[in-house]
Amino acid sequence: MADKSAEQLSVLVDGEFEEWELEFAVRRLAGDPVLKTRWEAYHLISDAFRNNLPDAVDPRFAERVSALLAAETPLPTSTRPAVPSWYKPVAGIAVAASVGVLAVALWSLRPDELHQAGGPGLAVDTATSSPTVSPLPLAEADDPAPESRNRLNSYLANHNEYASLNSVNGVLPYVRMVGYESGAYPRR
Amino acid sequence: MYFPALRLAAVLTLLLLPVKYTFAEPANDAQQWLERMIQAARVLNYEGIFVYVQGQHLEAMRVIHAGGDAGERQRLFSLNGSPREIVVADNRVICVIPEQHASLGAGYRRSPFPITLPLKLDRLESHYEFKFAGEDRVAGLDTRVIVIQPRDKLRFGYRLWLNQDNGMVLRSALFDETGQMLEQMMFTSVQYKQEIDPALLNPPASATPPPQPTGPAQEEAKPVVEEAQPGWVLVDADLPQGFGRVTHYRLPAKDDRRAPEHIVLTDGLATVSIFLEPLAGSHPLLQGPAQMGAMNAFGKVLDDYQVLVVGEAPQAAVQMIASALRSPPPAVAK
Repeated sequence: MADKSAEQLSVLVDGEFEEWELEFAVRRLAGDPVLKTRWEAYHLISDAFRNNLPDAVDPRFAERVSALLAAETPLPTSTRPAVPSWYKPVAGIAVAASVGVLAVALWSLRPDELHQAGGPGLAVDTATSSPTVSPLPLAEADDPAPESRNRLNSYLANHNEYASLNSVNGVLPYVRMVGYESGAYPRR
Repeated sequence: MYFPALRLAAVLTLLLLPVKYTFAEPANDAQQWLERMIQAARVLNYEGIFVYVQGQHLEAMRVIHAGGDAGERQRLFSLNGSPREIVVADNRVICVIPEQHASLGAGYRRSPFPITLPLKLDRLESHYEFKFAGEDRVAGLDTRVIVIQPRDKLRFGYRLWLNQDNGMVLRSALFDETGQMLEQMMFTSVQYKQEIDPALLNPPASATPPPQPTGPAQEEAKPVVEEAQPGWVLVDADLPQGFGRVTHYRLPAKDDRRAPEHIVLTDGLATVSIFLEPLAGSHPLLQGPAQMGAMNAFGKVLDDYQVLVVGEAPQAAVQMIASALRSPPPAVAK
């Protein structure tokens, strides 16, 4: 197992991972102090071979930077959860347009997320909502999720068009459309 | 007695005093700055980089913007993470993503009407207070800071940093009804141009149209749009004060479903949409409150319609708007 990790680390140092593997490898490296120490050692060796070493080497440099970052006071932000609830981080925005028809997929939703709107965290606020609210059961597993997702996305796109023209900063609705990278938000 | 030297000194003193100390600026001057801001968005040509912060999320984006008689055109690129971009030109919106994610594409039933929703500055005074908050520097440029403070808890507040020279928004922050910051964007660099090369505003070649469906769905390419039929009622007294309906239309129908309707409301600054979708046996999209960043939503089922209210407004306002909606009486065709 240790050999496997060492091998992967070597591939990582050499920059030979595919992009999709890279993210996984970096995540693993970040969570393993032994691997991190070994990573630094490999780079030290590599730099020594290439005669790239500075006059003085601080072996705890990364550790000290991490400690300082951890001690930073976080910027004040809203106490609201940053987790999107009914629309999810953009897993992608769709492609292009033909005449008269645009293809836009905004916030991506999974079927279970779409239909758990009445579940924990998204319960209907009976104290403030209209008495006409009609809670419905959760969806069956075979619900056509992409269709539901597309319905919602097209509504959001329409809203953003109007919002962009009636906003103090007309660029923001569009930024909201493309500004969320897939996986950038934790999922609730 | 007559002292020409003294008088000259007094005049010179007045002339040399910085403008900001010479005259108190009345609130409606802030509105004039907002008018400059709106004009700047329409006419300026520029390229810039800005950062966008929402909660714990940080994005860097590049924007190319062209104004002028041909209409506002712009192109936005994400600079971190997977490449995404959006082109807004000729009353069209085109989103581009890496090909591997393209399968999420869907028919976008777009608003068929020309969009004209200018800021109604005169209406704003009743619901927002405008204040100057000094001067600042953003992206190396001098800015005038304007605060737009809501007078109740049913709308969001804004802080804007406007370029002293042309009124363009160089930084903006949005605050919720409790004063917490929801999101902000800030330019880190901006270059103004005489002209923008039109080629820079073309979508990339990779933005190939998605495969079009065959059969009846193809008719969507030329949607026939009906005016919304009367029926749904918004009870003014139940709406958050100042919100009024600006448009109501029927979106193109999809498949064999009845066409959804879109009602747009504004208080002059915030925009809220109501979507009415006949369920006809399909699952509702949302029931209850939901939120992402600056956007709040509330969904409910009313008379076998999905009612979806979405907008940059507090949850309380969105719910009030949902509650102000009454379904048509049985005699009125939906």
